[in-house]
Amino acid sequence: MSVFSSKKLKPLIHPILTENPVTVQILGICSALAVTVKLEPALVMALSVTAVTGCSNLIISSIRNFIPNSIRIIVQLVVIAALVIIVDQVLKAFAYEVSKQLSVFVGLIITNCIIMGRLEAFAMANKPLPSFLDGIGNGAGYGLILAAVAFFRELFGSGSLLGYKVIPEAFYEFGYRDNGLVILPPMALIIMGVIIWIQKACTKEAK
Amino acid sequence: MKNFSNLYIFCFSSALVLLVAAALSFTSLTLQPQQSKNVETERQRNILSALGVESTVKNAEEQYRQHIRHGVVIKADGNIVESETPEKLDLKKENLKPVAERYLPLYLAEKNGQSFIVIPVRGTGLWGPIWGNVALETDMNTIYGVTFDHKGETPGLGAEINTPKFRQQFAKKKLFDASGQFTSIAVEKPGSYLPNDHTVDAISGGTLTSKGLQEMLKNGIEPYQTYFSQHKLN
Repeated sequence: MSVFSSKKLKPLIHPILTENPVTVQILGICSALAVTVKLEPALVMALSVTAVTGCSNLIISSIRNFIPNSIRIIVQLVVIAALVIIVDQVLKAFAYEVSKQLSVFVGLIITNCIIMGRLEAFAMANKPLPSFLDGIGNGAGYGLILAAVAFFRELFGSGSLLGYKVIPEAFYEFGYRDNGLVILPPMALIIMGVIIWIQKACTKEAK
Repeated sequence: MKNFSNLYIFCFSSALVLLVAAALSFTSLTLQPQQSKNVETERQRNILSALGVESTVKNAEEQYRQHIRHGVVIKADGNIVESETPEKLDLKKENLKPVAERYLPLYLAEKNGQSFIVIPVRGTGLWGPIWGNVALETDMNTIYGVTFDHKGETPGLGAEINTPKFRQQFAKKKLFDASGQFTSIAVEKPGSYLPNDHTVDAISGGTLTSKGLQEMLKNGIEPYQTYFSQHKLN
């Protein structure tokens, strides 16, 4: 019972909403712009990042008392890099089409500030289980924003969701056109800005 | 935070690196067969797609066996190189060699009783490599179908080269003009030319990718001319 008490779950829930790494801490924006043209790669990217944050937090937290302080950043990087390469290899083997679309961005998870930020801020000072939950929570928070941005970009940019056409043909016959701007990175930034705006407005009211 | 001796730091980092290296080699070795299979399936599907045969990841191998009779490697003088197989050729390396020394891959295909040849090509777009397959009819002049793909062209602009809309323009286009001169296919700004057998519309906003594609077709197909003249029917 105690494992699922709300206090224990705080590291999991908080980063998804009130301390969202993307909208509140403004981390991981680069990849959020790059992989959100379609929903499917965005979801795969979110899963990959969640797996990496969760596992790296767990590993670093378990060995935190043995890591010499002078080389801790290097140790963190080695762990992150190894996990990212494993994720990349798994995607290449089992989700080949998506891994082609994500191309270099899987490798660039290494440079995602969220991961190293959580290792430094949380995993180095907390026990393995809360660290693992914190990692999953931050990955999920990142994924949530990614999915939201990708939803709008795929819907208005390609008229589809997860590759299935959702805007009926009749619309196109009346002269509706998919918006090319939505596919380009600037629009991702604008959508992201709107999401941050909404989040700020909501949290202010709550206070 | 405890203070650790230099010896401890040295041992710790060595052990960590060894452990990580072992984990990575293990992953890489275990997943290698599956990854190679994906790459091979994709190559087969691209060739089939140039022939207008739609395949899925599952039936690609079977469709490939059904439609592709065999692959050969030739040289610019039209002679077949027995020691090489087209599946193993690295076009990136071949394109760097002088034309006379290049190994040129070629697939002999059949669809609904009609014969075709498929030529893989590779070139550079704006941000990285682009590649494709060109299916020719037996007159070695008329294009039956093409496929293109790219590593990282701009979505919505250069990346459009792999859409059916762009690819379909190539059907029925001709590589040689009326006098038998090799002209390849030009990719031009829509409306800037009179409709003819050797030109297709470029992609608006994707000029550099379009030009790269035009170069790829010219450089990729030109060395096959001798083979074409030796093997064309009618």
